[in-house]
Amino acid sequence: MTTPDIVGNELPGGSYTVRRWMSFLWADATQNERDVHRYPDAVESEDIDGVLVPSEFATQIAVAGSGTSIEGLLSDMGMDWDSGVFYAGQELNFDQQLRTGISYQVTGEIGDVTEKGGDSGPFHLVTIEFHAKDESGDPVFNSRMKIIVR
Amino acid sequence: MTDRDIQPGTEVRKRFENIREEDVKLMTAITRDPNPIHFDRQVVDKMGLPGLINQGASNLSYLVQVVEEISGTGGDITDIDVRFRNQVYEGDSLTATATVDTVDETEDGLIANVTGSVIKSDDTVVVTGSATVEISDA
Repeated sequence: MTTPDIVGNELPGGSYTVRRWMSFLWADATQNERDVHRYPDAVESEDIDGVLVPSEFATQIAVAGSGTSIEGLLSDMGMDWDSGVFYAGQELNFDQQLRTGISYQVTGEIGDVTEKGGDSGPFHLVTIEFHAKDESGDPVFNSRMKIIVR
Repeated sequence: MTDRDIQPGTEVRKRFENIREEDVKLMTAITRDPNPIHFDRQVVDKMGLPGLINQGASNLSYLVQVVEEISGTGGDITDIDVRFRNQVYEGDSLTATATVDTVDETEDGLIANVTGSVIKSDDTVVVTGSATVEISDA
């Protein structure tokens, strides 16, 4: 099994703005009952216009705002969904709460590719790092996504 | 839950009943995920799977929700680190649990270190993880 030489490769980068309908429907889809993700009136802060976005939505901001897609990343590695892909893990570190209406600026890179062996045979553990900032350039979150690719 | 209730051993549980096909597909549409295992029944049937596979972000959400419940409205998750152990399928029912391990006082409030899990009704572990929550006095 050949390990692709892609560690350090930077993602194209881009931006992503969460709209209220996205937060609303994401909360619906995950049985999240908190109204702060749906209705501005439920948000008890004068500093926030719009709604608070569920924290795990950062994973979506990261990938969708990075200028590529998981499919594109796999293609760069010579792999595709048929290879067998498993979302293995996720780390998120937050400096700010997520909010609707903010254009999050996203950058990222391939953090690591490690060949491993398992009961089902060899696989690659791929770590993709994402970094999001707000419109002022202040850090919002870092995301470390780990996927298993066979 | 108030700050005074948060101490080592404090636990929050939430049940997520019967993951619905429409919720799996809704998350798939929001995330624009082209992987057919999340929406195409012909594909999952051919693979011999019991149903559509739930999005990993949804499984993460179940754990995030109970962690946030510990902090209530005055807290923010600053860090979360999870491993996805097994797939969740449409129709599965899950229990998400978050437990406070340690609580530290700061000038601005509390920091709670939490561990958590999401487990199916048949005791299959689907998500494990840890998180840090900052709970402000304001």
